Amino acid sequence: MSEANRQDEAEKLSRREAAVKLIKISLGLAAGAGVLGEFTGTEKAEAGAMLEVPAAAPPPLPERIPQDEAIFRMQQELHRALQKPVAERNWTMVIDNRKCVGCSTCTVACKAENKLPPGVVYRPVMEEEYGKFPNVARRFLPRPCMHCTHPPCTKVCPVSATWRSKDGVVVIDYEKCIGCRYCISACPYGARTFDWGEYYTDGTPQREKYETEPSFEYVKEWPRAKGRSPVNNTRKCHFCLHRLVNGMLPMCVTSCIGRATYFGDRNDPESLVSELIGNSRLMRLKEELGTAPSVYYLV
Amino acid sequence: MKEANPNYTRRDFLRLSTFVGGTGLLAAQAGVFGEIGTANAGVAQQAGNYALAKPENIIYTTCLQCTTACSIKAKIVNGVLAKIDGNPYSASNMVPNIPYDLPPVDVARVDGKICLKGQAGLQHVYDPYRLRKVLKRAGTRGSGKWRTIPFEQAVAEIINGGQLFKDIGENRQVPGLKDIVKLRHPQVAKAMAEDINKIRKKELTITEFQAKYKDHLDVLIDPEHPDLGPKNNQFLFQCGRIHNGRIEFSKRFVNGAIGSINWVEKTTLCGQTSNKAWVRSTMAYEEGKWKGGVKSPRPDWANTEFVLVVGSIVFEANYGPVQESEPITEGLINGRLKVAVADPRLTKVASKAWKWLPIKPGTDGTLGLAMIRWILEKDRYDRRYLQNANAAAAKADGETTWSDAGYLVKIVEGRPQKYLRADEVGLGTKEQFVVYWGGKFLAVDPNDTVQPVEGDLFVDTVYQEIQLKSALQLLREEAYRRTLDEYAEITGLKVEDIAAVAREFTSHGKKAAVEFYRGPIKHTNGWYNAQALIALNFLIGNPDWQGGLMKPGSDWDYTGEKKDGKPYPVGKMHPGKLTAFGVPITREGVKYEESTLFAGYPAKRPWYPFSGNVAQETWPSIAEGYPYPIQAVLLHSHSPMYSIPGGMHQLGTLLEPEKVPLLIACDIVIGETSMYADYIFPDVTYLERWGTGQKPHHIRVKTSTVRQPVIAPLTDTVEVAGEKLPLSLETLMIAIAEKLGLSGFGADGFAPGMPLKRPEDFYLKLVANIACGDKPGDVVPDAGGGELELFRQSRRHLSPAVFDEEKWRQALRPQDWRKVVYVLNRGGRFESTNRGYDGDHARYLLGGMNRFYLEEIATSRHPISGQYFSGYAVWQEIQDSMGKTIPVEGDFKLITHKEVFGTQSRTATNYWAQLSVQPENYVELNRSDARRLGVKDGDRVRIKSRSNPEGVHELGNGRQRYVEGTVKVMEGLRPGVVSVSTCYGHWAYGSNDVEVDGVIIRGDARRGTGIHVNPVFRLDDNLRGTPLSEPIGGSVSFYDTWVTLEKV
Amino acid sequence: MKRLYYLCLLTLTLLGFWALGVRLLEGLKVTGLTSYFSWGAWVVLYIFFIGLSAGSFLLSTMIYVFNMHSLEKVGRIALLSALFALIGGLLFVFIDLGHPERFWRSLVYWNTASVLVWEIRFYLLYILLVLAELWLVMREDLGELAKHGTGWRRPLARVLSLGYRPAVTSEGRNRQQAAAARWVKILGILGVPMAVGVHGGTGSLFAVTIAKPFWNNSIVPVVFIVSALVSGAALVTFLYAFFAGEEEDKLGVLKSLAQLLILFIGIDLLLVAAEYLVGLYSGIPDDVEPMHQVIAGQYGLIFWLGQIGLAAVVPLLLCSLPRTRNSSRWLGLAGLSAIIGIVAVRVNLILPAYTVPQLSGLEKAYVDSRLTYNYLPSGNELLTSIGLIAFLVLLFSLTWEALPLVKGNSMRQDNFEGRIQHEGSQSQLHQA
Repeated sequence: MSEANRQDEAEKLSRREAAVKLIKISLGLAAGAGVLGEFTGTEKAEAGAMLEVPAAAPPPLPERIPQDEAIFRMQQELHRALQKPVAERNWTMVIDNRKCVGCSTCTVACKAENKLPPGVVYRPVMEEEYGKFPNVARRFLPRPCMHCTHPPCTKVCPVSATWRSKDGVVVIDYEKCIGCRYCISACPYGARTFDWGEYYTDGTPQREKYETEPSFEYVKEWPRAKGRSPVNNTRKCHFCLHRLVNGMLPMCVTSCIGRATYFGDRNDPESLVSELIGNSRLMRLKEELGTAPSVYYLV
Repeated sequence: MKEANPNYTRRDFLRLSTFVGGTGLLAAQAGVFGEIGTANAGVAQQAGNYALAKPENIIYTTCLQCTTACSIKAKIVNGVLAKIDGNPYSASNMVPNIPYDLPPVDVARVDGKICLKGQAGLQHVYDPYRLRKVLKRAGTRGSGKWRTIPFEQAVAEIINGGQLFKDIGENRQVPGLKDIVKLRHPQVAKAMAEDINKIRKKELTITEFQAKYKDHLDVLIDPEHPDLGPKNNQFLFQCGRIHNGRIEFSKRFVNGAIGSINWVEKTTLCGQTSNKAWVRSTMAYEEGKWKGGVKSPRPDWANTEFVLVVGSIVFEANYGPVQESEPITEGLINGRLKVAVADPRLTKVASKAWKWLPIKPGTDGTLGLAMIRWILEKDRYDRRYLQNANAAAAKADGETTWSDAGYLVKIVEGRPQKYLRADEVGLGTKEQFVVYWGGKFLAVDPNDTVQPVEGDLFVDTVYQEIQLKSALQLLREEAYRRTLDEYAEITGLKVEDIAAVAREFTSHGKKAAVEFYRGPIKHTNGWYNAQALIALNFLIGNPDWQGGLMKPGSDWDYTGEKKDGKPYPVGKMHPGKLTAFGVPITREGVKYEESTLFAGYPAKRPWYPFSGNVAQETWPSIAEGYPYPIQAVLLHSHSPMYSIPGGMHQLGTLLEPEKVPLLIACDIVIGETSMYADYIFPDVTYLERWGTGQKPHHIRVKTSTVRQPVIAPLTDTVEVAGEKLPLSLETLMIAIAEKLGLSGFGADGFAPGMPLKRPEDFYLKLVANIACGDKPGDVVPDAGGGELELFRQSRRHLSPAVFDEEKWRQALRPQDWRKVVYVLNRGGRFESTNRGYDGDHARYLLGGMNRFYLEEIATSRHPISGQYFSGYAVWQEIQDSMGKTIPVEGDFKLITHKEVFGTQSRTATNYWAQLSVQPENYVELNRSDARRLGVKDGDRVRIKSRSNPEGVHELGNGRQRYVEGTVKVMEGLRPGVVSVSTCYGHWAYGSNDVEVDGVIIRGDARRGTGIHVNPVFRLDDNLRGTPLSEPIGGSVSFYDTWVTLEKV
Repeated sequence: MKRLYYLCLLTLTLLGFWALGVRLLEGLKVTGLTSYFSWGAWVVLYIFFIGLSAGSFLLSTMIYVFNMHSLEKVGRIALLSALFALIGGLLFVFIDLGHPERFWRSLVYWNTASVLVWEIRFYLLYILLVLAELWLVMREDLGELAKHGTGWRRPLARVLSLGYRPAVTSEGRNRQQAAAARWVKILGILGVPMAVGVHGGTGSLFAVTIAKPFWNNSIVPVVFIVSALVSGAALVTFLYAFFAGEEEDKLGVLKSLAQLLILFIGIDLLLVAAEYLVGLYSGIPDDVEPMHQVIAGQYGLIFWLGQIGLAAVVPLLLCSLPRTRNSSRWLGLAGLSAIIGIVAVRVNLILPAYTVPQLSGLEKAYVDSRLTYNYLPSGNELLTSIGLIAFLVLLFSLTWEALPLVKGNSMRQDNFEGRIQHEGSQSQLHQA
């Protein structure tokens, strides 16, 4: 068979596959919800569940790594927190707005780390201009997920696919999520976005390989393919849990060029975030809603 | 091409994990933490889930999304570059940085910082519009029609020339490189080069020269003007963001092998005038010459207490948002630091400043002079520092530098000229200067470390019938010519604000500085603006003081030529090297008055004796054939049609085969300029190739970054002289050299039996130079067995065309291999940040003399107007090359700015960054102006100027468009100023459809959004097609254009 | 005519199923939705149909529970509409899921805090209840049909009657009827809170959302129910007016329906006025902005033409103007107008809430086509919607043809023989 023929065959095959799939789905529809589901989506969702199990702590950083600067201190504190049972950790972020230079590095670092497609963003940075010329200021506000103590988003999930885990991180089990997007509407911070299954190179001559390589969210590998989670799921910031359990700080923290973002365990009174939370400049977003975010701002 | 190594089996994987785990265990046991064994066992499992934390998936290299050259950590999964982070070994990307000797396995889980451009780097390399094969045009230039041809054929065609485009109906005979590289004798070249220097100094006549070289006159462009150089000069290599390593490689080819002097880069589009002004102001006087100098002294942000930022977008551009942001934000919140920003636009740093001075564009130097006046009037300068006239006096005061403040300058014909030399008044030698102190005239040798000499600062006297003024006196007189009210009027600022900033600036002792780079100098008066701002720093004597002005910590000599005893002085390892000589097409480094083309003023086109390459002169000069015509151009990583103000006006030259018979580009995509080429050779991106980065501006310790291939190249692999190589600039040069039989390349490229057949033959030697250090004992350790294994494993996905360990080893002496691996495993060589200081001072010193007055400038004339330049800072209106003031010609001054996610033309591929953070750029207007014009957010306006009255952008082949953009109304912009960011408005670079081999390849409209304002920039009325320029440093003017906006 | 009608429905259905196939294969990227504007046409239709169902059902309870005898003739239409509308609503929520194949999880995993999860269970119970009630009111006829029916209706009735056969004696039949009536009443009584729950609960899905002040309002669930009543009454009016053939006292029945319709519309207008006046007066930006969008912004046309015009003014006029209020055709059109108008009401209940960024400047912070607060339904959304609606109408029409709906035994009448005759003639009529 010539190369061209083989290609034709392959195309035919894929067309046939598509048709078969279409029929299957239609049948599934007819047979009533659930039956097909039993066959296709049965792998029990462990992604989130495994996070509840205390993971073995990674080895600490070598002693000779500088101990004093904030970033190293926080990484050491992270190791300390990982020695504790999950339920005794309380991950917290503090963002110093005065140090934020509005560069959106955290936004893009997060996009890259979690391989986020169009339509999905975990940590945009908003900008506002205040005042009148010449008395003007620009202010910047990075907005990760607030990881609320009383999250309005998890309450509404019909399938318990999202919850606040014991260490304070609001997580989504991609394999449980049915994609109803109720949680998106329920989040007062716009912190949840949906994975529409798109690619940045849609409409260009080639889909690039980096777009289909796995992301490592929730300590699992998520290669990207049509119809496969997290495609058609809601997605959100998870404090880079996969990095945390590997003893690494969230991406937005390490990449920040103004060192405006702090992260740590609020239950550890010695931690930097605990220190910062006792500050008169402290505020939280939409405090009046009673969501009690785990993300604090210093203004 | 081998993809992710299929032979990489599970067993290999286990072996690797064992190895990694083992090392980690050892390191950890050295630590103070308990329970290591169990924790480690746990992580082996965990790490399996997070491939980005595995040392064997990491290669450190150097970014090039902007020119700062941050060190980066490339994380590769399944052979695909998956993530880029900062390299924590480097002081540029982590403060404090990780100890250099920690093994890479131990730092795999520490990420440094890197900005959003750096983060988006993988969209630069994995760009669907990347070129993989050689393209030859299949229609007229710029038609957008191409066909792919084999590399070998393309190389043969450009070398041999001929009727290359017969198939598309062009019967023109194209000259090949073989017709251009006429001068092939190294000895003749060397002798001629020496003799034309004599001609310039009038030590040799043209007739004598012609007689001496009567057998070789045919190699010259014009035997009547031998100082133009050989015909080889008719080959032009024009490049942009090329960076170290590749600079040397391409110069080896262009200068040494081809023998052309025309290696032209783009720095006059950037901060060249700033660099040159700093260099001149910090030069030392040695052996009767001004030498050395430092191009980028910068505030010591980590310790300073007050900085006046003039026109620099510190958090967004300025050679290093990544390095500058952290010490500034930290200083701002802990109360150490106060910042004032003078900028027409409220930049991000201005929004955090104590004071924003919304200055009128082009008056930065005037602000400087106003502050100088206030400081001198109030006696708030460092008199003790300024009085020191030589090294000994400085040392006595605990200073490392001194100034020319008291040096006496001769006033001849009412004009300050040279410094008075001691021999002229019988006080000493001709290498000594004269100061006035204690009622006496004293000879002073600036470098004398024994006998302290001090000088009065303000001297205006006559001595032996010579009228004399001290350097600082000259500056004072200029500053005192206007009152503060007049300065306020010129700059558009409030007197109180100027005074408040001047007071603050002089309230912190040495812990204050003025920061500027590109903003003040992209004006026709940019040189003087720079001098005024530099003078402010000198007035408080801040050089080398902690918290004051410091020089970059610099790097290890990678060329092997600057220091003795280096293993590979690659420039000298070039048997048969040609000496390139003559006048560059852009006429820099040569005085018009010394050339045989001198014919009074005005010159036909400007000459730039004090500048580096003058990019904006390239194409107008080619158009006019002045000083000579060009036969072949190789464009690389530079896009004059996109980047040069008014570049569009030279499009006709590119499209005209008579003006440029052979136009070759080596580019990663079909760009805004390469689209007009005859051939495009694919290049590799910074993530697929070698280099040695660039010295960071804002780092106080030594930093040598190495750029190395981190993924298999996406370009096709070809065979050159038996070596399989990926298509790239290096491969092209190696192939041409091989075919043409040029020196410095091939089997005996470096020396007999020492080949340059592969890029790594060259670059690994540079790495070895870094590894071996600059003085005895300054050597990195050998990589141990574990590191060697890690080195191999982390390159397991690379094709043999890039990584073949045996071939890499062969490029080096055996004793260098493990050292080189040590450096490559860390992405370079980095000093620890805690080595930046020595007590109150910098460890790496500017040292030497700082000058308020530049005698060599003062005695030179503008080649067009014939007017003399000033040796010190003066206020000069915006003017053209004939010295004619540019009148108010529109409603707005147009300025441009840079966004943190954008650089020139190459960030439009960054879907994560530029295209999402801000999908289009805006015509930014103050609210009051918008109201006056009746426009609001989202309206479209057309921009017109005197040089482009209709606001039309010509794209060639009958295509054109308007210079139109979307309005954004804001408060943070001076009324009367309109600002547009660069890096948008593409018409190529994947934004448009092209036809290759008859197939239409659709462009991506997202990449073509926004407005591109270069076509409306103000041209010089006296120089056809050239934008207004600053005549000393050579910078092109970016902020002097008056425009009118028309609502569409 | 009838063939054309079925051909049209079939074509639209097939087109819709093709679009649905594309949607299931490609995922939600075929929609015009964005991550910030995350619910659109399908959710609008979902609540529209749920409302229609609840409204129809509540109308049926007027008859079977509250003994509104004047409406007895439309009891079965109302119940059947309730059933099909509910199926329609569920279909729309089903195709709106990112992972429809995991729909079953919503039944298995029970997040008790989620209103939606309660709703899903409510819907299922409610379906069972409607089915049971429908069966009870029709079992007599079905039983007869199973015994005496002709052609394909007979086996169908055999299946549907679940073995129920009317007693031979009239005494026995009376006993059966009484039992059925009692059960219908019980179910109806159970059904009232359930229908209120079904739709009030659906309204609560939105009302409990603190993220959207436009929804987060206790009047919202009430508005949902009242507008459900409007749509239910309107649907039954429309169906009865146009598809019930000539019946005695048809106009009388329609007039009763029209009176109900006027009542419901009146309450609805009152509630909407209350909601908007209070909201606008309070002036909280996140609340006012969507209201502005509705009254004078991008949803203005839908509001004034749809919600005020078609859903209120037109039916009110048609039901009260002397020239139209005595015409069953005009009253039927009043019903149609109100039904379409209620779609506009649903649009304006849901979509405007998405026009306001949760945090100021969010829409500019990071931009792509899926991160905007703008939404227009895509071609696929429209096609699947039209297709599914056509499918529902098709099923409803077939059911209408197959089962004794209009002149059926309405518990107190005993004229099934005449009815069977009539059935026959009706079928002939249809075939003609």
